[in-house]
Amino acid sequence: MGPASVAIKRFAKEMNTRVDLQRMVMGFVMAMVMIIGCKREPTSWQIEVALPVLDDVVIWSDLLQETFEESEVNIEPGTPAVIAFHGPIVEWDIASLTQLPDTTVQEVLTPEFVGGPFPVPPGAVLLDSEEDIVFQGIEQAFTEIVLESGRIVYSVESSTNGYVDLNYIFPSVTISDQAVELKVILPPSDGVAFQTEEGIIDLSGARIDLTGISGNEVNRIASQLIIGTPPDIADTAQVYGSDSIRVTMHFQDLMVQEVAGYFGQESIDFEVNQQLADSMNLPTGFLEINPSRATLEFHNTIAADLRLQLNSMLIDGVSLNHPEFGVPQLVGRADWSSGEVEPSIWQMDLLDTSPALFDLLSYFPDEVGVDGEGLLNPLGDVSGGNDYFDTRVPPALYLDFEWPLTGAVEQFKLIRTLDFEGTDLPGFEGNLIIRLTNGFPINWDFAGVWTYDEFELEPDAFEGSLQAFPGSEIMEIRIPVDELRVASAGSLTIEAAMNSEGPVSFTGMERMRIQVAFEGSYDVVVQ
Amino acid sequence: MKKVVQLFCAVLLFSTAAEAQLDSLPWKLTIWGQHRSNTLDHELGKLFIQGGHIDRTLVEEARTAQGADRGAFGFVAGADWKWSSYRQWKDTDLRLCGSVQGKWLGDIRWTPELFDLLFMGNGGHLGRWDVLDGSRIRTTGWVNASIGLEGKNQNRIEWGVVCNPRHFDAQIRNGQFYVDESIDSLIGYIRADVDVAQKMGWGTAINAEWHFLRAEAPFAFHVRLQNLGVVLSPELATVSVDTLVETSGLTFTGNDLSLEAIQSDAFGEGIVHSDTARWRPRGLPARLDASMEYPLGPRSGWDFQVQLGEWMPLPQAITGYRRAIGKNWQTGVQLIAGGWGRLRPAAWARWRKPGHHGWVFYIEDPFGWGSNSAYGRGLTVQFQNLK
Repeated sequence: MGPASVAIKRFAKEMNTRVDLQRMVMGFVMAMVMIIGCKREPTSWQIEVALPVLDDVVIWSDLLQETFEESEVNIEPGTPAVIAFHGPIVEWDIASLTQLPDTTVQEVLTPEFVGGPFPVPPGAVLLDSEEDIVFQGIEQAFTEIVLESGRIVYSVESSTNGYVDLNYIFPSVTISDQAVELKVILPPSDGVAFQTEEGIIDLSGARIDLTGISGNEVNRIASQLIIGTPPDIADTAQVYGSDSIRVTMHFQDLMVQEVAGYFGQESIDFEVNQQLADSMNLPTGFLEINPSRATLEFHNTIAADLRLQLNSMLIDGVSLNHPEFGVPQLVGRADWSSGEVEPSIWQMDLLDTSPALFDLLSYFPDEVGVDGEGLLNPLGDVSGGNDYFDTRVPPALYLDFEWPLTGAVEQFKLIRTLDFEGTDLPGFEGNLIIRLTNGFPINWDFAGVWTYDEFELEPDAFEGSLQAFPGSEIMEIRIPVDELRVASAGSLTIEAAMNSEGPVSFTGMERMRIQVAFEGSYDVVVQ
Repeated sequence: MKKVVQLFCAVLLFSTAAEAQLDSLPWKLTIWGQHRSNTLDHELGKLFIQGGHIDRTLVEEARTAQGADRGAFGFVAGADWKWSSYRQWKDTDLRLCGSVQGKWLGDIRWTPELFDLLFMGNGGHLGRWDVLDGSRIRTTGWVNASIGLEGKNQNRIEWGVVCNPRHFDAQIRNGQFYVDESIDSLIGYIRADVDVAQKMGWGTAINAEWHFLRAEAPFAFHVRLQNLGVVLSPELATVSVDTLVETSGLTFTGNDLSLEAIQSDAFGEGIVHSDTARWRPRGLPARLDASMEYPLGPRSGWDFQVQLGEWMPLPQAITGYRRAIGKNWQTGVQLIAGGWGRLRPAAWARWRKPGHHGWVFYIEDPFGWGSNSAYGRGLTVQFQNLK
């Protein structure tokens, strides 16, 4: 019993009261808990909310850029505006230049005597040899490569009754300017089983000189293998004539990023079908397209000559004829001397097709197919083994065209979809307000549908028309929404179709403003 | 921290040990609790605490009651045990005295526009600027163990160690909200911060009383100062926000206010800043009472009192009439204005057995007991040992 307790007891006794401070404090705390903590149900009240949710504009460049995500679309405002489109439609993958075959190297060291054991002191060198590792199965004469990925899977085995020190050095394989080196110290074998060590060396980003030890070869990696006993372990190895040390190096999955050398006379056939645009955003309907320039370009980004022959071209299944089809074209080598590619470009005028491409289409094409063949170095090794290819910049077919924004439009449709996650708003009753403001000099027909993931809820559909600007260009739609609809995830799809009465000239500054707001009441619930 | 705890225990031990040396001493124990608002009546308060649906009529009545004033709700509860000895200190007129006090305070205040936004929404007043400046919610609780000296006329001064286990303070320093009538633009601005004490704070405080009692003077005058001091919080977490949102709606894409941005994990970074300060000082909610008693007759008198501080949004003024009944009873009625609420009555009674003990019962706003339309109530019970 501490002095404080004694003092308090004496004090309480002298006061001659029944005051129990501890009970009073506890009682007070209990009373407060009862006042604050006796909540039996959630508290709720109704509030009215009105908030703007969305305000965005759709302009020509949004429309086209979302449709052709990979390409550069520029709009030069004017009367009429001119849409300039430039972008790759087909890229070429040349597998023979981008993947090296797997290669395995094995070294076996055995003593040149019978019997034993013979003692080998610490620090002794049993083997020190320099050797080229030759990549088999490569028809080209590569002198240097940079790997995007790849690995060496190695295995070292020893039956020697003593520690083994192994150094496998690849002076021509560097990662971040450091030579790749395998250093292994194997403990003594028990005389029954091999001591083994296995592992993987990651070669991602490795730069490999393939000119071998002499510096004049091709497709070879210089290596140095040193096998001995470790100098810092005071253990004398006992070596028998039957002992062996085996080293296996397996170069696997070597994917090339850059390659140099002589690529040989490689024939490349290609037949590609390329989706041009995101079909979700692809407009449909009739749009009079009269391009002032439409060119198909082949960009040779390889520092090697190429003989190209396009045999046919299909756009959305429509076969085109062109005077250049079937005619071999010599495309010169790209210039990489500055470190940046200066491609060699061959062009074909698409306005010369028959039937006339854009008269035929009058809508945005969805798919393009190209059939042809190519031959690398058709004149042989004219560069003295200085071909070069960076797989990040592959050869490609580009579409380059300019289109004055003028012409007739009929039911040219745009589709936008907004996905909503459900929100728990108890007792919600209100409206979703969709307000559209037309800045285009043509009429628009709108149709929208709000679909709900909750299958019991019927979709809400609406439609309306917007007059051409200037005029009655504002349309407001109110969709009644309740608690169930707000709680359900869903999507709002708005389909807008442009219609013109005859040819219309666009300035490029036209825009459609889409605003979404909601107003309504719901119950705030505080648990 | 360990030293502070030891000091606190030492003050407690010293005070109890000193008291234990005395044959007997006068002391009094006071327990009190009250809550009050100028806007929220009991019916609304009961729904907040006990739950249930708040009808719009109640909300509108509260809003009408608030008018253009700032709304306020406050509560205070505590216990105070004060003692003084008969024995004089080293042949002087002074005597040892002390107190142990526990107190819990809460204060909420809001602008009329914030009340509208929270309880009615913005739908009913589109096109109006809602001003949120100065809205605040805060609560704190502490125990103050003090010891000091008491002179003649029960004038006393005490110094104490304060233990502050809880503290929370959130306030909107500046804030505006606006949605135009056609619901196509929104402007919101807020500069606010929240302080939360994550560990027990320690501090020191002074209590003092001065009583003007003269036989030749026709009145008595009293001044009481409580909990004038400072507390250090070892880890006071502060979260602050200072941002302006001006939008006519979200865009589909973009880095700022877009559907794409608000769905990203990084949204909100750079808007909210947090900081945890070590040993940040805070002032205790001190309180100053000044009161005057003026005798109207041999058995009756007039009281007037002013109370400041303790987070009350307005000074509290009290005036009342007192009368002695018989030898043992004294009663009084009062009118109270200010503080957290509107004008309200109070009544009190004192009974004592001379030379033995006495009881005081004080009820603030008696109509608050049993009425749904009152805006608060309070009860104080005091036991006095007169031996």
